[in-house]
Amino acid sequence: MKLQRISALTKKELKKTIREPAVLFMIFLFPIIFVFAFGASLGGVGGSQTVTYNIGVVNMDHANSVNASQTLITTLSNIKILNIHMYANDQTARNDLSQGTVQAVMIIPSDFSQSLASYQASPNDPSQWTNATVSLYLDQGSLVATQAIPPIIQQALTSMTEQSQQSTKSPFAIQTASLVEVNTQSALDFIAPGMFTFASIFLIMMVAQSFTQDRENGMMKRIRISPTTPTEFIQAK
Amino acid sequence: MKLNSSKHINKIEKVNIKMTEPAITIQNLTKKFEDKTALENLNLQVTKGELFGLLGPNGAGKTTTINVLCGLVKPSSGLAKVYGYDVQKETQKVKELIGVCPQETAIYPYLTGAENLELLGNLYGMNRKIFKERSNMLFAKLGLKEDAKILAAKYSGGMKRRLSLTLALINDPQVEFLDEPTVAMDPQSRHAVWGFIKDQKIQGKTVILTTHYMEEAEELCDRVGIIDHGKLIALGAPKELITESQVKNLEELFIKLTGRAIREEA
Repeated sequence: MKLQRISALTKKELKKTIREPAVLFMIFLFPIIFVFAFGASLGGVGGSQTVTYNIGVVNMDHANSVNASQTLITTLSNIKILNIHMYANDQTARNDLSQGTVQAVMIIPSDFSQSLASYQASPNDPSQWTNATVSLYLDQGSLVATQAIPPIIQQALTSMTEQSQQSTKSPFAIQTASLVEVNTQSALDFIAPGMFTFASIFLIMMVAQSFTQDRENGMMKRIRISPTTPTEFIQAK
Repeated sequence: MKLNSSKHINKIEKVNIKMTEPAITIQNLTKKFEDKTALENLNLQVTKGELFGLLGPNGAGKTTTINVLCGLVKPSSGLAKVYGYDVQKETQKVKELIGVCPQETAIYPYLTGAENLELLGNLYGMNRKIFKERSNMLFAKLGLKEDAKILAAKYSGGMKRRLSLTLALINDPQVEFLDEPTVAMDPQSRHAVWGFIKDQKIQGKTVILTTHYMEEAEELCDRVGIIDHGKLIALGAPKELITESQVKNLEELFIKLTGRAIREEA
């Protein structure tokens, strides 16, 4: 195997890629156009339409006096982009989540009202508070929902305690179930796999086309007559 | 009248007797493609330094003969040698000795003339200095020096053919196979190539030339062999063949031997 031959053939392939606009288009531009066109057709790009999220709520809080959970549900219902569906139990709600009927399930704990009452009794003394944790299950498949829903719920909880801007403490916490991980992904993370796949497919097509072109125009014959071995030729491709 | 008669085969023997060192030896060469016989018991010897014309209608077996001699096609039976090396068993040694200008204009259009030549030079593992000298000489002789840095895609048809010829000869081969090198060339380019081919002979190179231009074969070749249906039907110096067959020129002899029917290319 001779490096001089492999490098000469590789150089030739690179020049072909750079100098032939069709090759450049197919390898680089077409995947980008295709990914955006495909994304737009499925509503993933642009997004001028109103997006709504279905959220399932399981209310475990049945306090008789000040029912804070109802206030929270009302607050969430007033948010235009949320559709609230009430569930009697955790299992039914999670079944609907796994089937895609809802994109998130929120479980209001039984001590939610008690927690709010403890806060209202002594808002400046966190040691007196009864802390409550709101559990949140998210649809892992809906990456946009996982990005958008937790902040909305956090904001609703914050509004209930009417915290001052200086204070960051609250008796309520959101716990995202460990089974459902919220991924923080950039736009590039969405596009890159598609672009890579398309570029790979077109690259394979280009190599195949290069073989047929070499055969048709007689260059394959010339290369086969030279001392170049088939291994060197294939490696350079 | 068929000239594969004893009279013409005798001429082969007479010429062969004079030959001392054979550049190409073909013995009982047969090549079959499924049901079609491309070459049938072909026997031929070309001496070193000879300019030999391989003539024949389309599909007669000229290119198949060249492909066998280059090691590109495996013969069904028989023997083919180049400079004493068996093309099937010592292919690598044969490759170092030969240069081929294919029928197709085999160039990369997206490379410049110089880049095309550099690629071939590297494929032959040529030394940089030798390559430079050789490429300058070839470009100058074939009138491509001024256009060496232009993309081959922008070359005219004749320039592309001349570039194809330079690519075939970059490794300074001892045996040159030129498969219709002047096809689609204007008279100026054709005469330039003729001059170049003659020059190759002066340098002692063995040239196997296939062509459909009979005046080209008459002008250039020491000997010609006419092949039809894979068989050698005439062999000898053009003038001797013309005199012996009592025809005006090689074209008339060609038609006389191969007939007027249009051949289908295979």
